[in-house]
Amino acid sequence: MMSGLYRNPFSGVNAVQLTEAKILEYWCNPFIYDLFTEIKEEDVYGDEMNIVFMGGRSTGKSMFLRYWSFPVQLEIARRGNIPVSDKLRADKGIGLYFRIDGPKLKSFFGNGLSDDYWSALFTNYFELLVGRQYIEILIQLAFEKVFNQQILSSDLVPGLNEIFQFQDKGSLDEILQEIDNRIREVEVYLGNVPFYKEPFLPSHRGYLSQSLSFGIAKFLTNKMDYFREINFVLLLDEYENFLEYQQKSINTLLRFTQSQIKFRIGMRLEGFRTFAMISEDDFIKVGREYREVRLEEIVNIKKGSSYFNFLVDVSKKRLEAVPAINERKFTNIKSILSEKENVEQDALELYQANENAIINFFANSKKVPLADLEKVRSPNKPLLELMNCILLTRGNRAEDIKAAMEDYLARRKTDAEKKYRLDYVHKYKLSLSFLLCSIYRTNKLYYSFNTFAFLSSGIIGHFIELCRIAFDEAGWADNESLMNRGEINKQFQNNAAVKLSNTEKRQINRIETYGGIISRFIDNIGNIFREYHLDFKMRYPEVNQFAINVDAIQNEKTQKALKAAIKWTVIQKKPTMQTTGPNESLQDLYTINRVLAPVFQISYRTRGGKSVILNETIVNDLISSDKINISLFPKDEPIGKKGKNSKPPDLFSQE
Amino acid sequence: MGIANIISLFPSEKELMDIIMDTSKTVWDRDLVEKDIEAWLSNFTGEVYSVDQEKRLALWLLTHFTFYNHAEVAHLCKVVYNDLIHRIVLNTDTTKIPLENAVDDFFSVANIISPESTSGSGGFIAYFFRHENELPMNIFNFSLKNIGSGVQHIIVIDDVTLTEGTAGQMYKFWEDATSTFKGTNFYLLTLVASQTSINFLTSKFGIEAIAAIKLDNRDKCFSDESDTFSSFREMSNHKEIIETGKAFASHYGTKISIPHIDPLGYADGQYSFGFFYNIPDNTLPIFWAQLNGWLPILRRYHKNYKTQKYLHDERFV
Amino acid sequence: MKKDIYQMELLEDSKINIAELDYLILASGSDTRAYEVLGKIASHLRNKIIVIHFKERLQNLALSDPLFNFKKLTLPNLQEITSEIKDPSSCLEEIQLNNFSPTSKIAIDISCFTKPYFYFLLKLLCERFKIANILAFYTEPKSYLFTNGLFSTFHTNSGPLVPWEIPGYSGYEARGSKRRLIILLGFDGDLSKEINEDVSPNETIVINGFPSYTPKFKDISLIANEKLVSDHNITIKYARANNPFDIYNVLNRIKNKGNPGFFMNIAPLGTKPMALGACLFALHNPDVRIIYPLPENYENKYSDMCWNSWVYGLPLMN
Repeated sequence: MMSGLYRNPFSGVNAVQLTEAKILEYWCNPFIYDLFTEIKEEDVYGDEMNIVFMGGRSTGKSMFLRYWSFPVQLEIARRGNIPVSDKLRADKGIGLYFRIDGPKLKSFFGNGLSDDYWSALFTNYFELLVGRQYIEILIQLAFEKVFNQQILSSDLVPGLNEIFQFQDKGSLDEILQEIDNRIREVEVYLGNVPFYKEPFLPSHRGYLSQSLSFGIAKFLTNKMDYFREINFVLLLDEYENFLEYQQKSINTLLRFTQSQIKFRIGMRLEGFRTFAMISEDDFIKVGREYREVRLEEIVNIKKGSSYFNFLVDVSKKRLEAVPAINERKFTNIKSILSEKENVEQDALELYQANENAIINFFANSKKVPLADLEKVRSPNKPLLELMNCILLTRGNRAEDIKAAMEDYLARRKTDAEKKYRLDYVHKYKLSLSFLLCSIYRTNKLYYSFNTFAFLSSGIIGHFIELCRIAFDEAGWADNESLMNRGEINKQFQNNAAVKLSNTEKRQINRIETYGGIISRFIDNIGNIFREYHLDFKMRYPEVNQFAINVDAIQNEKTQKALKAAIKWTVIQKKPTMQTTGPNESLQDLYTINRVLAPVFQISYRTRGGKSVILNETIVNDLISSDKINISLFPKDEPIGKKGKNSKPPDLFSQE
Repeated sequence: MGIANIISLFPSEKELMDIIMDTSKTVWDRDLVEKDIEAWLSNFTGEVYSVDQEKRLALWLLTHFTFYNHAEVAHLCKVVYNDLIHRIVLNTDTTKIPLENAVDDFFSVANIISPESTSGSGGFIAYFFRHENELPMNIFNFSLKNIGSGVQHIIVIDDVTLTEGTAGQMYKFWEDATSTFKGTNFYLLTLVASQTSINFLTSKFGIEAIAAIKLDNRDKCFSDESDTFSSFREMSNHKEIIETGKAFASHYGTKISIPHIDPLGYADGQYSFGFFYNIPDNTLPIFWAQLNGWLPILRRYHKNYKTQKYLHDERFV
Repeated sequence: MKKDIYQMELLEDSKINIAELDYLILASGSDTRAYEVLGKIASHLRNKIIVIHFKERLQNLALSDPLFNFKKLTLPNLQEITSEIKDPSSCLEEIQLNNFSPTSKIAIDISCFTKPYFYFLLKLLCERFKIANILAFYTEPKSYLFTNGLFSTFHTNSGPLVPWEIPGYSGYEARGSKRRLIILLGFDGDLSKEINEDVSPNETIVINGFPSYTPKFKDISLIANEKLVSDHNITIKYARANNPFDIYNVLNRIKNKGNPGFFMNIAPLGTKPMALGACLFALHNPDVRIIYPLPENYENKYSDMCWNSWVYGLPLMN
């Protein structure tokens, strides 16, 4: 099967699990590809403001955060044969990476004890974790002889003893050991509390917020020349897992961050459970306590965009890591998948099974005279034939259509040819392929690098998963083409797209609290989009976005459900907003995650133009009804004005 | 219920192929690919139902085939060995003898053999058994005739023990062994056995049988309790559904026509499992037969007791 | 290394004296296995029977539901405790009313308990009441229910999954230790994926229940977890699906072999006997963490009919 292919190049590799060496092996610097418009590379260590990196699962947050952490800085220094002290000075920052997994965070809860109680315990625990990492870094730097024994014993260790309130620990190792003991004390307590439901009674006083996290940094930057120009950057991953009271604790740190202490937080969209702080009459705010950087840049997902180049390079690293593939030089994912879909070829393959299907459809279902239909036939160009038939239904004369088509095919520059070409080539080709598939009662194929890149919706993990499944399918069904020609057949790619689409749709039900609601919403909105795709008058081609002002929704459950959908990247907000009309409020535009396009047989592209306008009433209907009444969204009347990017009238506007 | 309605109860061909693909990836060490499946499906030419219906049934049966790969066979060897150890220590008064000593004492007067000649599958398994359990070579013997008088425990290793009664292929072996070595304790360590065959051997020959996997009526493809059709158990036409599958497999089993093998496997086995190295003939012949133009999905290597051809068809020797 | 002879017998072959049991603890449920053991031994029971009801299972249940079948049996000294699946420690107050002592002879039928629940109970008995040994009963299902015959449709639960540390099994992650996640494979592929992503270990080992209750089950668990199992970084091991001591031995070997300095996380997603073995291992090794994805909803019935009933003798203390 995959003989000769030792393994699927796209399997495995979870960023959090990688060693430092592997992180460097798989690292593709996103700044080279201009994936972030909001920050520059030097901002990671240098920016005065805290930064929150937002993106769904598998968008590369963990890989990104870990890259800037001290162990990786150390590895880079080693590989470059430079002292780590030089590396840190050059970076002007030291990264302290933290990830506390969901199960551990949730263990600080319940058992009949109050949130306030748990908050104090959690704060103590968090401070200890941060304090520990500082000490580990200092030990490594001492090993690298960044400071001499004199400074260590007369300044550093006594100063740290004071901060930690230890009784005369003689070395950094002893300090570390004591921290370990206190962390263990907390974890033993967590293991026993369900059986006793009693408060934590430690052998020592607990640590207050900032006492270690800021206290140590402040001490180091004040006392040690080496650290005067260096920022301590706390890289906190998966912030969405923090419980509400835990986030209040950290939010407070964001508010009171001091110079040379920065937070870089990774979380899902809508990952903030609260913006409140410990003192509940105050809140943190974007632009004031932190900047936001979004890792899902769907606006940038255009053909040839840097995101696409990024995907090519990420893939290349993985393909090169498999000897059987590397030896054969099949390391360009665009060649393996083909760069883009050939919708005309796909259409031709359908057409050849029944060359009269289009004509018969329009004759029987749309009552178009057969004589006219025969005039606009286009053997071997079924999409043109289909478009011609649609033009007939729009009141155009068969002779005019035929003439425009012939001009187009002969490349004769006429006015009619220009309109015909613009409509076909630039606007409606993909829409036509959806319609053609519906005539032939088959599903559209989703394949090619471009398609996979679009379907991934800016989530690198989705792209990798699409490739993984495609390689699996190819290995199963046609290993020869894969190993001899470095190609994966479009059918296998389509299988991958459909499988992942179905899996992701099924997973929606697993979303905490609102999974069922969101699933119903997606079913309904997806079917609405599908209906627009099946409009043979093509009034609103490739409709796959909707407009809604989520914050204006009054019903708390509905609003929270939509925010959960955003958090879990089931729906994605677009950067542009639109108004529905004069004196109407601006509304955000959303798409459903493009990976769901194959399930609903809709387009994955961003066309601009028509959006489905939703309001609270409609949304409530969409989340509660198992089957929405599609007639609520008539295709005859526009239910919202055209958006800012709508296109000018065309041949189709002749009603 | 008409055949079309019955077949419609099964998953689609695509769904079944997806399961087989995942099975091949995760269990079959990717040894089977789509074209192998397609080739096998070409055997079913619509002689019982329509071609498409037969394909679905065949795929359904294939998805329920259990294949034991290399790692799993190795593990089974460990399982039977550990079970043997457990039996040994259970029979020991550990207040008087330490555990380790009890086991050492046992093996100091034990021999391990396979029931067939060394080239049979039992011999193959014996190699695994020795290897996986890190046993010394000297306790293995190649023949009953070679076993010395001081041996108190004879441990017989085999892969499959399925047929009870005198029809069982090992009946003669056990008859000879237990009559020759009276007073010796016999242990059969077998990877897969039917409960009925174990009961038979235990009661007939007084041996202690240890099987890693015990099969029962649930494992016979077309029994009323069959696991293969357990998804339909709640339906009123459950038996009809089973009969549909049985008629299909029987027809082609008969068509293949392997001498001495029933259409549904030796002694009407109706089993559907196999090992990476061979498929037992108690399983449905539609999986492994190579006669009369039939293309197998999994190979069975028959025991050659008759022909004595040593030079095969090679151009250069 | 300490060696013990494990106790595992079919109930019908067992020589244990049921009349000597001081307590039998079981969970109520609609599954046919819920009272299989109780039904067989009820006439011999002399002392306390504790039936734990889960509020979530009782919702909207008709009185004719099989869950209430235990009432048809003549049971001396029955204590019914209502508790919540979501919070195993919610039974603590009422359980404590019993006069457990280190010499109490206790048996627990795990067939219808959720795993977090019997984990909690065993630790409670060991930690609070210093009970060194108990018996555990378990009835295998005859078959599992697969919708439309598709293995991939098997789910024991629905709705959101929340991975959490089972109360009492937080373990301890030493500084600098690498994370090792051991997943006991079950039929529900969503669970393992969720756990693997949440824990994000440096190394993942999956243990497949093999030999399984029936031959095909060992494939179904692999197919259901295809994405995880196909990852070339994953190691697959095996342990008998109905023998908790087998799993214990495998876990022990994993812990003792190779480099120390691993923080062991175990996700007992497989059969209940496998989970029982992992529980025993965690009780003997308190540094081990047990993670389990708690679902919002459990399916009330996902298996069909009863097969063998087993008795296991468990040494809760090492």
